[in-house]
Amino acid sequence: MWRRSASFILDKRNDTGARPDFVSLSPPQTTASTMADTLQNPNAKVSAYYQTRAAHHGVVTSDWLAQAQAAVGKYSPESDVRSSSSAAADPGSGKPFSVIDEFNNWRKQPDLAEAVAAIRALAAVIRSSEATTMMELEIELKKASDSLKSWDTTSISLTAGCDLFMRYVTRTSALEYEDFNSAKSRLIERAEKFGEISYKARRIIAMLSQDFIFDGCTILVHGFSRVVLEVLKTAAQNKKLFRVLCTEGRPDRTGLRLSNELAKLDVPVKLLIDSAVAYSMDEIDMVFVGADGVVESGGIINMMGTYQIALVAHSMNKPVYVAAESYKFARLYPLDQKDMAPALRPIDFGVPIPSKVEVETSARDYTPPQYLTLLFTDLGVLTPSVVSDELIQLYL
Amino acid sequence: MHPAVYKVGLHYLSGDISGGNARCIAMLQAFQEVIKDYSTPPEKTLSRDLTAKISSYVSFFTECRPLSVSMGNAIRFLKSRIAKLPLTMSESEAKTTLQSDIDHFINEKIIVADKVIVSHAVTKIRDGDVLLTYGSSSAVEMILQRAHELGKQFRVVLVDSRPKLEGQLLLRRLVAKGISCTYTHINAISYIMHEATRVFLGASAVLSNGTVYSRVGTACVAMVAHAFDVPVLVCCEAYKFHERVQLDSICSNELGDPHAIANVPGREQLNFLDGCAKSDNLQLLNLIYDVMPSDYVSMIITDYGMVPPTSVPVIVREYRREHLWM
Repeated sequence: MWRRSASFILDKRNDTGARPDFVSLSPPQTTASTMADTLQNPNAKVSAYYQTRAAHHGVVTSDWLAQAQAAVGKYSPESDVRSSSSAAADPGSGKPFSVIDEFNNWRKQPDLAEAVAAIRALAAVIRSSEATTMMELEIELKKASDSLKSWDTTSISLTAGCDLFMRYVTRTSALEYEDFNSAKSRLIERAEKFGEISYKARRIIAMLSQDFIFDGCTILVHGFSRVVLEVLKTAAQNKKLFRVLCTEGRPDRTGLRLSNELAKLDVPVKLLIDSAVAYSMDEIDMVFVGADGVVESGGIINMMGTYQIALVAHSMNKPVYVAAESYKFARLYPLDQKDMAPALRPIDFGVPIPSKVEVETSARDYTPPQYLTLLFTDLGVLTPSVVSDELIQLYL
Repeated sequence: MHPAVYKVGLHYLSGDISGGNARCIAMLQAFQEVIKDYSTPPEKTLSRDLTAKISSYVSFFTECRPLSVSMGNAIRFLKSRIAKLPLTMSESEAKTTLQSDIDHFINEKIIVADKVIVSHAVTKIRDGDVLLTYGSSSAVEMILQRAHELGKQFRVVLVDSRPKLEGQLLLRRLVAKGISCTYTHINAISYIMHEATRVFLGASAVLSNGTVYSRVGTACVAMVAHAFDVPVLVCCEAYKFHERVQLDSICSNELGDPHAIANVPGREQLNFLDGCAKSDNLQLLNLIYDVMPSDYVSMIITDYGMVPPTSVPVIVREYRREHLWM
């Protein structure tokens, strides 16, 4: 198993024997699929979604960065070779355009949501497409969407964003526009608008949650969610008096980043280590978290630690509020913690770990709906059971 | 009395045909025969007369054995189809239309629905799972067979109960396919439940508040599973959803033969209650169904996908309109 603790990486860097067999695993997959964009995610064992989030929001140690550099650096020559060979292998796909590259470019921006990046990438596919009928365009888009989804199977908002856009495309093709070009431009317009919609969604959620933050309240926040930050920013701007308890959020230590941002807004912030949540729960009035994905049962998938906090809050009768945009609703239904696709991220313990010791590197957990009180979304303030209602209306 | 209807009614009475899907399909096929042999009497309209005939056959079926929810929904569908026939249609056209409608219903709502349910459910079975099931449900049987075909490594614990002992037939079929099974009775449920990783149950009907109406004993299995934190997956086709709400098992149920619980077949020395059945202060209660509250159900797998039990009224609302059963 590919372990990514510090000492292991340093050891492996010296002995290059490990690389070839990892590389040899990927070519069979690329030849099996006949898509034009068959760039394989080089770090299949590590979740790209959580890597990006850490890079944007976490405090990344120089040690970890060095590891990541070393790992990625080793792969780029191979991935270039593979992409050029796959482009050559595919007849009739003369274009050098790759939806995965496009997506990665958009994804690097810290303020852009993953789903928006995905939709922008798909819009670029439409723009550069040579299709002449709606059907052809749909097929191309479906291919691009599938390759995006398979590139990072752990990102729920990516999958949900792709599905939403595909659904919109199939609906538009219902003979609304007789002229293909006008339909095409309409789709591109809609894709560009999606970025605005996503930003507006955060504003709406911030507005809806203002009623729930009262003067003198203490809020516990876990993980760095841009939506929750927006909520707290708006509350601070409305001159509400409240204080925030931030969990450290190891291993990314997102709490440090978040507390920085909140200190800039002059909000009183207290940092807790993750284990101090139960200790401080009696002085807390409510828990606010974001979500990486909202699943069909009404539960959420979020950064590791959310389930623990929700359990403690539930046992002490504190409300747990989730702020999530509606494009994060996914058609998944995990039955327990292990029922999801694994999303692994390396953990830097600061000291070398002996190779016999296994590390739990999952980056996320599932919080069942009975521990959540309310969901703040751009569709309104919902109870967890309404999520399935919305999904049925959207997808069926 | 049409001979096909008579035959099916007797099958119901003797218990040869049992299970929601089987009874519904048998009834609809009997009605297809009826429609085939039907000819409108003079001075009567086809729709009114045929509806009256169907109603009389339905009351015959009810005499043999009370209707199940699946049969009730199918009859509502048929009657609405008959009522929607245009008056200008000729008799033979109307008859062929009705027969093909019935075929579509059976195909779409039962056969294809079962395939969709199986495709959803097998994604929830992982290698190394121990699946517990109760009694004999056609949907669960198909799921287990399909998962075995796909090469998943799992074993099955089959829980059964008196007096019907329906699990034994399912057990035979599963063992014949090569699936490793454990067989036990419901008295041992709390003993065996710690081994189970998933519980798959069938249903006779799912009511509007997410309550599951199914064979007696199922609620017990679900309750113990809930206590042991084992997820309970109920597999039910959407045509068995009903808008009524039931709060307990007694208010609407079916009574079976009381002697079946008093006598143990093949063990004469255990028949202590032989003379007592006629006594005034003894009532032998053989309930056929029971009701499981939605808190015990983790997910309902239907042909509309995997939904939480709170979404049942949503599906009833959205899709009854489309399918014109009302």
